Amino acid sequence: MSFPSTLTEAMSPTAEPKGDLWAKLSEVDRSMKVLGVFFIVCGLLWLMLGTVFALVASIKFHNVDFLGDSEFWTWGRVRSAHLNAMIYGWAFNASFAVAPWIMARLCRTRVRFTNIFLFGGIFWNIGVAIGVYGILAGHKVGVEWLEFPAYVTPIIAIAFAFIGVWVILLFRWRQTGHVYVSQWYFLAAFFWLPWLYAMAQIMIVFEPARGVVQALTNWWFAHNVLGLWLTPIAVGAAYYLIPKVLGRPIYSYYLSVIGFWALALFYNWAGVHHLIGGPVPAWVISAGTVASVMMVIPVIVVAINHHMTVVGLHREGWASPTIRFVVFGAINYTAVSLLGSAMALRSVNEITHFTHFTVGHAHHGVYSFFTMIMFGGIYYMLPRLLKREWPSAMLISVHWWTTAVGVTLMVVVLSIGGFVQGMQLNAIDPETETAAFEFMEVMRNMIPYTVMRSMTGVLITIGHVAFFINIVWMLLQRAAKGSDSKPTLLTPGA
Amino acid sequence: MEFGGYIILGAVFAGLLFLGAAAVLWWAYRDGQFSDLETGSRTIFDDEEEPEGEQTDFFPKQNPEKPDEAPRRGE
Ligand code: HEM
Repeated sequence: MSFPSTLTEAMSPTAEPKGDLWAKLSEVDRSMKVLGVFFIVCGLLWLMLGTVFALVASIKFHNVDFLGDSEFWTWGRVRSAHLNAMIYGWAFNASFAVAPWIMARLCRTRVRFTNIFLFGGIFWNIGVAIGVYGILAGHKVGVEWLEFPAYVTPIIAIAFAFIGVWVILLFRWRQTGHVYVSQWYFLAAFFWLPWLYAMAQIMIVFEPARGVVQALTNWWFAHNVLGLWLTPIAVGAAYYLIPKVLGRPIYSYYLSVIGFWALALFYNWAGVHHLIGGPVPAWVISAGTVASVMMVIPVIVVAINHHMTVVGLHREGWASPTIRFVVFGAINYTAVSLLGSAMALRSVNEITHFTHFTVGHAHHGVYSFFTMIMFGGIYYMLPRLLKREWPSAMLISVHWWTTAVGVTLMVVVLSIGGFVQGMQLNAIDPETETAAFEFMEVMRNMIPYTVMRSMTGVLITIGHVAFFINIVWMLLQRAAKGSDSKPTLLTPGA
Repeated sequence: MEFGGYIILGAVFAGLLFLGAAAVLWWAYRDGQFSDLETGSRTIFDDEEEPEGEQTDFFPKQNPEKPDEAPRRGE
C-alpha cells in the first residue's frame, strides 16, 4: 500500500499489521509531542484557575460576605465557573492529552494531519474561555453541566466534532491487528460524546424542551459525560498504564473485555437516577435504578483486574508516581461506583439527595477517580514526549500526598456532613408533626463541615501548585544536546 | 412536543445506541478479536523498546536497575 498523502486517501482503512505507517513507540511519541504538550499545558492552566474558583466557592459557605460586593464573584457564578473550568477545561484537556496518545501508541502509527486535532483543541479552549467568562458575566444557562451561554456552545460542539473525527481517523490508521481494551474505551468515548453534546444543546438551548423533559435531558447528558466520557477515558488509561508500568499483562484480559461491553450496553440508561424524588413518572426512575444497579458488573470486573495485576508488586508500584496515582484512582473507581449504586436506592437517596453528600460523591468521582488517573497518565507521558526527566521527585511526592490525603478527607467530611444535613432536613418533630429544624438552622449546623472542606481545599491547592511548578520547570529546562534522536526514555541504551 | 413524543424519541435514540454497540460487538467477534486474548493482552509491550517484565516508570533518579545512569537519563 502506498503512503496516503491526502485526507481522503487517509480515510481508507489501513488496519494491516505492520503496514507502511508502522512506527516505533519512540516515533509515535515524537509525532504526538506538540499535541500532547499543548493539551497538558491547557489542562494545567484550567486546573489552576478552577482551583481558585473552587476555593472562593468553598469559602463562601462559611464566610458569606467573602468577595460579596462584586457581582462577578457571587456564589452562583463562581460555583458554575468552577464546575465548567474543571470539567470542560481541565478534565477534557487532560483527556485530549492522555487518551489519544495512548491510542496512537496502541495503534503503533505515526500520527498525521495533527492540525485537525490542534485546530479543534484551540477552538475548544477558546470556547471554554469565552464560556467561563460568560458565566462570570452573568450570561449562564441555568442548567447544571450545560451552563455555557448559548453563544459559545456551537464553537465547542464543532471543535469537539473535529477532535472526535481525528481520533477515529487515528484508529483507522492502526498498524496492529488486535484492538486492545483501552482502544475500545477511547473509541466509544470519542465517538459518542460529540453527538450527546450536540443533542443536549439542541434540546436544552436551541429547541428547548420544557418541564420534566428538560430535567431528564439535563441529567441524561450530565450522567453520560461521566459514564461515556470520563469513565471510559480513565478506565481505558488505567487498563493501559497499570500493566504497562509494571511490565505485567492484565490479570484477566477476558474479564476486561466483558467489562467494556457491559458498560457500552448499559451505561446510557443510568442517568435518570439523578431525578429520584423529582416529578418524573415512577417507571422512568425504576428503569434508571435497575441500570444503575447493573453497573456493579463492570465495576467489579475492573476492581478484580486492577487489584490482581498489582498484587505482589506493591513495592515496585510504590516506586512509580504513575502507579501511585493510577492505582489510587482505580481503587476509588470501585468505591465511588459501589457507593453510587447504593445512592441510587430510594431509601438512601431520600436522605442524601440535595445535600453535601452528593457534592462529596461528585468529587470522589471526578477527583479521586478521574483526576488522579489523569495525573498518573501525565507523569508517564510528559517525560516520553519531551525526552526529559521530571525535575523534582520531591514535588511529585508533595503532589501525591496532598491530593491523595486532601481529597479523601474532603469526601469523608462532605459525606458525614451531608448525611447529618439530610437527617436534619428530614427530621420531624413528633409533637408538632412539622419539620424539626428550620432550614437556616441546618445551614448553620453545616459550617464546621464546610470549614473543613475549605481546609482540605487548601491542602489540594498546595498539591496543584507543586504539579504546576514541576511541569513548568520541566518545560523550561533546555533539552539536553542530541536528545532528539534518542528513543523512548528509560529503555536500554537510551 | 408532548411528553410521549419525547419518550418515543428517547427510546429510538437509546435503541440506536444499543444497536450500534451490538453491531460493533458483532464485527469484533467476526474479526476474531476475541479468539486469542492471551496474545492480545500483550500488545501493549514491545520487545524492542518496552518489553514485558520490565518496569517502565520510577520517581526521577530512582531507577534501581540503573543507579548511576539514572541521573543522566534522557540526556
Ligand atoms: C481544590 C479542590 C476543590 C475544591 C475545594 C472544590 C470545591 C467545590 C465546591 C465548593 C463546589 C460547590 C458545592 C455545592 O454546590 O454545594 C464544587 C462543586 C463541584 N466540583 Fe469541585 N472542588 C475542587 C476540585 C474539583 C475538581 C478537580 C473537579 C473536577 C475535575 C471538581 C468538580 C466539581 C463538580 C463536578 C461539582 C458539582 C457537584 C455537584 O453538582 O454535585 N472539583 N466543588
